[in-house]
Amino acid sequence: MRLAVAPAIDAGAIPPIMRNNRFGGAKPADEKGRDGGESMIETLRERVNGDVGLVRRGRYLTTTFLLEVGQIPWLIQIFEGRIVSVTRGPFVMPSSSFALRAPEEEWQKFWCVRPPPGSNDVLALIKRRVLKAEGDLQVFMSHLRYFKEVLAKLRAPGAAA
Amino acid sequence: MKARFEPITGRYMHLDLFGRPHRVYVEEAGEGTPLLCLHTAGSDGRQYRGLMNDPRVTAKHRVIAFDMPWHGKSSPPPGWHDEEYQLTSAQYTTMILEISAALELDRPILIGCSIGGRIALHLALEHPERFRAIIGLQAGAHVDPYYDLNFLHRADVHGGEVCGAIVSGLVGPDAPDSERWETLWHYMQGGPGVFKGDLYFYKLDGDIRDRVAQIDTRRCPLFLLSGEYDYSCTPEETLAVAKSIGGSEVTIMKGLGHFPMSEDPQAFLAHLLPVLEKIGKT
Repeated sequence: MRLAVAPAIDAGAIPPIMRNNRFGGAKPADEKGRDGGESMIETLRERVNGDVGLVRRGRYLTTTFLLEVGQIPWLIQIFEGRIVSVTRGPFVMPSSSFALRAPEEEWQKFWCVRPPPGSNDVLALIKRRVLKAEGDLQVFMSHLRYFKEVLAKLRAPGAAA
Repeated sequence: MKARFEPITGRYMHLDLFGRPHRVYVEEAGEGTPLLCLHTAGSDGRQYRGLMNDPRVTAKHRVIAFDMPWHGKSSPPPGWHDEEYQLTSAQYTTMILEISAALELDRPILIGCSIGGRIALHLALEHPERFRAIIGLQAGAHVDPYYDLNFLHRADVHGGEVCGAIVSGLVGPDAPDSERWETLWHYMQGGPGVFKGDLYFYKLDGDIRDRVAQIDTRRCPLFLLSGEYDYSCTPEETLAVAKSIGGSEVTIMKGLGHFPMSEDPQAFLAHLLPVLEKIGKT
């Protein structure tokens, strides 16, 4: 089964001391939701992997990217279009192909059921200079629809992608 | 199942542009005052299918849309395979005036969106006598690049995929799914480097900030309509243009994005029809 080999792809990106922060790991329940979207971000794996079309569009994509929500970084590991792990920082030496960094309040507007103008798309955030996209952006741009739809998965159910 | 035909007819026009032979696809519907339609960067004349299929427009207007060279069903000129396509203000202006003359249009109403809205401002300034009225959709005087345009044309990024994905967020949130994805499909069908070549005009060569205030609406009425959700040409940018041009009329269209005539034709027509009616009375 493919998923069984997935952690070997980029396991070095996640220092062992941080691994108990993985999705579904041993994090205390009262910690969830403290910073707004935290518990929501942890649902990304099931939201993405449950969407057959989205996984198909990402089938040639294997990478790890970093999503920074205010002060909190998340490493999101993808294997052939499926989210393998969502890991909460802080990290000592995170490795990722690229990073998307924006203040928490910007992501919260982006993840509204109906985002306001200027907050409805990652490129809108980039244009307003509130989202920084850094690293090897060929990975991001070659799968731009995939990444936009992955990030939109964190909107409330029923919201437009 | 019985087939249904739309009232749109298409033809191929042969004419020289910039000293080179071109084969340009032109489609039209309706009769009356000519309404010449300019599509957005990286797309084609299908964006105006909603206007051409609406009897409220076609009863009094001959609606005409051409695919710019390199776009849709218009070919690039012979020799294209060794060139990098880059649209300039001068070429864009010439193309519109030449095609309008070749079609023998008598002072058409001009409607253009995005790059078409930008060149509409150029034409309002430089050739107002050629038009009955000018309607600029998503028309701003300038847009700064906000992503690396090179991603639109490189072999390791699929051009169709990236062009569709780049503009997907510019569609307003209320657009019907069928029209939203039709609009994006046109982008996905663009030729290699064509969207990028159009953006040379939009983001570099076509900057008209220092001259836009010189537009004289007494010579040609100017209407500006922009969608609320357009972050490429924002409502603020359109309002700034309107503020600097005395006599211009501006409408910000709630819920609409960067492709109003294509992403949600019915919602857009609610804004356009009163404008056409007003022009018809002048």
